[in-house]
Amino acid sequence: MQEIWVYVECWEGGIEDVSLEVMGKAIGLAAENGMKCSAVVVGYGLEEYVEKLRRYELYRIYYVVDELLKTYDPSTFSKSLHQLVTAYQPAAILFGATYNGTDVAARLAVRTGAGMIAHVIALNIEKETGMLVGDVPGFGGKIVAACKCRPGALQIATVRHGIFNPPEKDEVPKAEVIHFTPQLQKTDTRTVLVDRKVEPRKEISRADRVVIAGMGTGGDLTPIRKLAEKIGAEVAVTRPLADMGAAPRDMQIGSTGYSLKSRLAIVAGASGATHFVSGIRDVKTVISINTDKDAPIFQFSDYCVEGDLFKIIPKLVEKL
Amino acid sequence: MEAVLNSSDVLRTVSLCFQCGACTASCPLNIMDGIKMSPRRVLRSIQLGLKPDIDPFTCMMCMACERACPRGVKILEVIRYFRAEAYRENRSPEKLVQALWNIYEEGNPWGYPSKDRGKWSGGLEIKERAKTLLYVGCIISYDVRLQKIARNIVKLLTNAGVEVAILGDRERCCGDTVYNAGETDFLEELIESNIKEFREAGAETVITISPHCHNMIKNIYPRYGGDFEVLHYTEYLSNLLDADKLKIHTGHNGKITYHDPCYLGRYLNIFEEPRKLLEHAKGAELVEMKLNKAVSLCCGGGGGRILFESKPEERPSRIRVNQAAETGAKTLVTSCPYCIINFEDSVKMQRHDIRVVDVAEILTGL
Amino acid sequence: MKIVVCVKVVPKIEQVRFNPETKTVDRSKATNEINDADKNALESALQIKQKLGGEVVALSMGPPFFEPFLKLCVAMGADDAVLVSDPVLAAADTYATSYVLAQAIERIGFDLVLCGENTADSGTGQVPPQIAEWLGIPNISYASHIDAVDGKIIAKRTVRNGYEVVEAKLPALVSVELGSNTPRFPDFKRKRWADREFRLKVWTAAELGVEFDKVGRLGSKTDVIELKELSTPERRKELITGSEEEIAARLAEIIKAELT
Repeated sequence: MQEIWVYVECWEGGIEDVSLEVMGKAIGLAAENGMKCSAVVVGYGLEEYVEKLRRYELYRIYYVVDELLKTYDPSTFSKSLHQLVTAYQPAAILFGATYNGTDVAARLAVRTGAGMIAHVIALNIEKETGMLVGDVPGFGGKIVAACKCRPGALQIATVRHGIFNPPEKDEVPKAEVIHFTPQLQKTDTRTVLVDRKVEPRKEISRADRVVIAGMGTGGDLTPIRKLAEKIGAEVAVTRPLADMGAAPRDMQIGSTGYSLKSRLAIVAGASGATHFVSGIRDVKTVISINTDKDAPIFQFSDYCVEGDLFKIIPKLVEKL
Repeated sequence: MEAVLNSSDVLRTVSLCFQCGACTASCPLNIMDGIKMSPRRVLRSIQLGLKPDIDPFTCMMCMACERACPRGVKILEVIRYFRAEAYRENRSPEKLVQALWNIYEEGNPWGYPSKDRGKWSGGLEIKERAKTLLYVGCIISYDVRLQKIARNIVKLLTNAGVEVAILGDRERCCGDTVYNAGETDFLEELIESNIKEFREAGAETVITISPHCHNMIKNIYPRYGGDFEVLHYTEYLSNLLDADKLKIHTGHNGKITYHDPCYLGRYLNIFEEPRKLLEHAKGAELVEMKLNKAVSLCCGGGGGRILFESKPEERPSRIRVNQAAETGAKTLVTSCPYCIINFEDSVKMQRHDIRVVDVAEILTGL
Repeated sequence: MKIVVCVKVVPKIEQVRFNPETKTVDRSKATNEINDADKNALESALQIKQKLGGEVVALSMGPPFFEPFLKLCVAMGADDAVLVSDPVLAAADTYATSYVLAQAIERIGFDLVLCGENTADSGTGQVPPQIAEWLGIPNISYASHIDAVDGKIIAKRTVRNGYEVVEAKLPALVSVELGSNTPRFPDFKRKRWADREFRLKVWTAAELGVEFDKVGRLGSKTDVIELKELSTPERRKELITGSEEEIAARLAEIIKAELT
């Protein structure tokens, strides 16, 4: 039976969310199409993660393990994966479209002559051919191309985060673990990690609800913070406020900051410049408050309030 | 003693300075929190053959220092010299370099599509060729709030029987930002190309809206062969008023106060024409702010600074709108798009009950 | 130190339209520009050259209209430029594109290859690591800062929630993060020379000596079956009016409904 593999990326904070999301989709695709779904973990000292993965509806977990794989290196990782692929011949291998995932997948694609479909936002298997079809966004996300790999080779796809859902867990660990020792030499390691500083923290781009402050607040975030606290939302700002130092850059929304996929965004005192608006495009419901009735933000909002945020927000907090 | 500067013109002007300090005293950067910019010290360093400690990009090029100087030292030439040096050494601020790319690729410092430049004139009947050309400028062409000014000026001119043309999306940046960045080679190409466009449109007279554009086309373009009659729209309308051709349609009630933009006032000595126009707006009572005319306080937008985000405490426009409020006026009128942007921003942040408008908007009724 | 910078000319994406009738991408009204991240890569190369001396070569695979953009790279400070141009190379996916670029880079000769992290149009980010694989050299991606010293490249790369500092021996390939530096404005005196006198190298597929079954549509490993437009959600634009009390009450209602 044909296998779909999911490359599971691990880091200090655990298993990458996107790897589990891809797995959720892959397990479903395999079940619907008479295929098997397996996970692939590459590294060293990752036994804990491999054990965690056994609780998912997987056929196997391939644990590619070697001391030389302790630190990430695109060359050793893609070389080891290549050897695994040669040994077990999967039909397809899916990666989360992370920086490292893309590197490894891309190098693997050249090694194996595989087609590679990038950062898909939808993924299906064509009934007639059994081939993957992925929707690839391009031109800033405006245009989507449905892409397919050519037959007769491995199929590779990378998947954007936040598209699919992680799989259900089982009570009893079931998947078989296959330990695979790659043929690697010290000289295969081509990069050396000299320093790494990573602080796991909540990312604003994954926030469910956000209150965004614009220049109309004058840099005074008090009412914004109060409202955010009341509804359990994250606080974010527009670019000018970050420029001013009223908030750090990692709270900035817009084309040079973060894009939100939240359920709810309340925008207070922002005029709605194009570069900001691109950051709230995928938000389900947008409420805007601005004193200027001609403010462009109202063209990009679901609910529009022409008023003074300093007067309306405190009243709103009271009523919530 | 080794000279810091290569330019003999700059050295000549620096040698005039006798260290009175009037420049530093008049600099708008220094009225807020201590001395941020000391032209006096800069000039002294150069006189002593030392490299001055200056960030030439904090200067708003407002010319208050030059007007205060009893010796006629061309301080802005010195600032521009150090900007050119920074440019050659790849030390220009990021925003300025991005602006240059944007002007090259899309004809305006903000990178808005060049194809959209003429959209503001939708619905207005304007020619593409005439002896009188209205040069609109980048920010007015693209900013939704400021486009009204251009439309109002066109209406005033058309109603006065003036046949006026615009370049639409063939119009490109006047080059003010490039000039302020200290870049000269692209500037030459840009100006020569603009002069060619003006000629092809049949222009003999060019009317400008932004004082920044006006300064470029009137004072700098002649160095590259530009030989047009260049008038700021307040000058042109004032002439029409004198000839009894200007129809000022509605009056405005209440107190208004007029802010002299640096580039219109100090650079070009245009103080009376805007006032004359405003005095003819029925029902408007014109009151003056302190620091008016030649000593007007800069809004903070000149010298390319409109491209930078500055800290609220460092904006002279904050103080200026307070001065406007002190007059009791509910309307602050000016004739420069950068001033309007800065004042609207400061009015919002300080929550004054003041409307910021352009002279043209008073004349056509808001 | 010889640095090859891979450059692509892309349409300004905000100006690209989707033609729903022909179901194709309409770039006819879009201004073309050098891909922003490639400008960052070129700037990094020029900074390294300023520090260590050497040569910077701009390389592109594309149709003839790419020429003036390569000359713009020379105006920015590149010493030479190469355009690989041939109809048979068109409609290539990343596999076929990276293959051709790798062959060209090998023919040019190099110590370091710099690329932008991805291109604004397709944004896959696959070409740089694939070029590295073809050339058998290490790759470091999403570098926010690069230093070259003693036959090594040291790059600070952005990772989620932080950064890494990674070293690799030359020859190596580094892809540069978008916005990691300010690309210098071209020297217009040099641009005039580049436009009038400089001749860049233009190679056809045959001159480059590529294997024909590895290039263009033929050599690609993926196909686009269909193009669709992703429509932005239509906003309700509902105006909420009334006294401040009434507005606050209505907003509270909406928020509560949305969050349950």
